Amino acid sequence: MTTTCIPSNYHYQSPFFFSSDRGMSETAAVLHRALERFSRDGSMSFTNDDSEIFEELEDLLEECSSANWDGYGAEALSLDSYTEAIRFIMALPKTIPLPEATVEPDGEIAFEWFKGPRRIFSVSIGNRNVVTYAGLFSFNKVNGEEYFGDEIPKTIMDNLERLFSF
Amino acid sequence: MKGFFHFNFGVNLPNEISPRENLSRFLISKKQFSKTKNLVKPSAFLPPKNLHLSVFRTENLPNKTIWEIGLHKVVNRMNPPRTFYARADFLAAIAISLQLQIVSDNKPIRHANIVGWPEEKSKRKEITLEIAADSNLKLNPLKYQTNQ
Repeated sequence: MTTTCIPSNYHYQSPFFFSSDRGMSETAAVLHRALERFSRDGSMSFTNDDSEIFEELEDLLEECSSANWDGYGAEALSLDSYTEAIRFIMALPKTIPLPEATVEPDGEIAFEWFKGPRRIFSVSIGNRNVVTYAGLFSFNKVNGEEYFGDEIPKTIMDNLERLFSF
Repeated sequence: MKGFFHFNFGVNLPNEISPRENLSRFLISKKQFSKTKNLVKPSAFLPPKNLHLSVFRTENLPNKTIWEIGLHKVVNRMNPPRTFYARADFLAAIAISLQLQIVSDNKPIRHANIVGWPEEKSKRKEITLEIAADSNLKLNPLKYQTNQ
């Protein structure tokens, strides 16, 4: 059984908490309802550190839920990618540093890890269990697609290990 | 009507883009760069569905003029209005070395598209990592009060 201790003076806010007074597009409202369903699932647990990335995802939801959010014709943030992104973060081992989240022009959420100027790894969270990745390790490069089932694909984990190993 | 409208934006630019030319991509989303890490995120260089990445040819232009181009030719033309946060500067040589082509269309003036992107998204992502690694983030001084 997993338990979490939170100091009584610590103002903890669930990453799934949304203030209801914020303006939301129709897409955002759909996502909001989906997340409320997630938050009622008592089997999930998360650490305080996780809350930062969920706040980032919430920011993305606000900023990118309408088409052309980048001014260059980008597609709106995809509902499927959003829910898959949450699943991805939940599946990510706690020993892996949290990534930065962003949205790509096709509406997919991407998680990016920056270790240095030429040490970057990026994973796009697609619809229906597919993740697309690319990495730059000094002068070596990798890219590909992987099936994302119940666990983070081994290729992704191997590349993250490579990124943070030196 | 002096200043921006009076400035010669370079009508006589050669159509062919030199590898040594500076290109700028204007950023109007906070998610396309990191101010604290001083870097442009790779996703800022991913092209939209038509696989045309919009850039401007900004070689030999004063810094102030580059910001004015971004403001008047890109940001102010958007509906709804956007915040102009930053720009990414990089050499044309970087895109050319990655087997991309830069096609000048001068619509609006000094505008070009980077084309020739692979069909596979993973390969496009890999290319954007390279461009991002070799680009420079410039924060909009009107937004961030920097000394640029």
